[in-house]
Amino acid sequence: MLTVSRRSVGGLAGLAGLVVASTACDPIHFGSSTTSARSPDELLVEQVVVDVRRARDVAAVDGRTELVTLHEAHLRALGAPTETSPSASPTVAPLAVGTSETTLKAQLTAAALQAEDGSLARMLASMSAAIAQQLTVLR
Amino acid sequence: MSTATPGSTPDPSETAGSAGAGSATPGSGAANGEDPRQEALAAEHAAVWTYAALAARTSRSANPGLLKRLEASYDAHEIARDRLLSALADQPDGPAIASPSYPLPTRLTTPAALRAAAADVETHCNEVYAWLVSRSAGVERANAMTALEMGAVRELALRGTPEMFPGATELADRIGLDTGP
Repeated sequence: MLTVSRRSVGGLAGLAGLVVASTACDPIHFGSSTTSARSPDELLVEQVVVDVRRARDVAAVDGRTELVTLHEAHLRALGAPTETSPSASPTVAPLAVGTSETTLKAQLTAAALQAEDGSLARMLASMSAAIAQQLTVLR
Repeated sequence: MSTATPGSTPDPSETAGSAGAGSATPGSGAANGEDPRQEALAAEHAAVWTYAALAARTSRSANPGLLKRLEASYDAHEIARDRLLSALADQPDGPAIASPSYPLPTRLTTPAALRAAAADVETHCNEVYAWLVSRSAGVERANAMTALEMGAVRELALRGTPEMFPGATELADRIGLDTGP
């Protein structure tokens, strides 16, 4: 059973206009870059998506549906598609979920510190805090 | 670094009035261009006051676990407040001053109500620190992130359910989540 609370605040603009996923498979665009060169934040998001997907896959293999739900929500917030079947991923290593989540939290923290855009930093920091809550539950 | 896109990151001073117990003083904080850490200090002033009030309403004999949690949270917020007071001591207008009192829910007669009020304190502080993350860099951003994480864990202990986006719950709305209460 899903045990993650949404606790709606509502009425806030969020990151509208900042995160743009033009199609499910297109790259994500952060900032105001209009050239083909990717901004540091765009590259950062690409790496974070890889990291979150890896953690999602580990959680899926371990049957942690609440963690899978959380990671897929975070992927959607990043503008990344979530269609890939987690259990079918060939990259899943037999990691303990706790280790995987701890690693992801460190990666999100580092990414939040690195982000140039304040709103992106805030989102990544919130994602990291969500993982901290999950680690508390796991313990 | 660039700052947050206007309108993309909610200013906690705009929502403080709806946060219930532990809200920052309306109109306080960085809305007028002052150091954004002042907003966090205002939230910590409110948190310290509110936790003291909640602990005073908690029976040591009937609810020792809750009282212990409230006292630990009080200590954590007191440390955070003092750190911010020290960091902002050299500001032109000095650090934000605590109000004589802060609003409390009217019916704090049950452990559940006390716990909910404490959770609201954490929710508001988390929103402020998440906002501070967006307005800071380097060490200050790292400090804000640490405070957000610690607050999120305290909030979890009080509410009992983890969140998708602690301190930034509107993000769940933005991606269309409908996952529970």
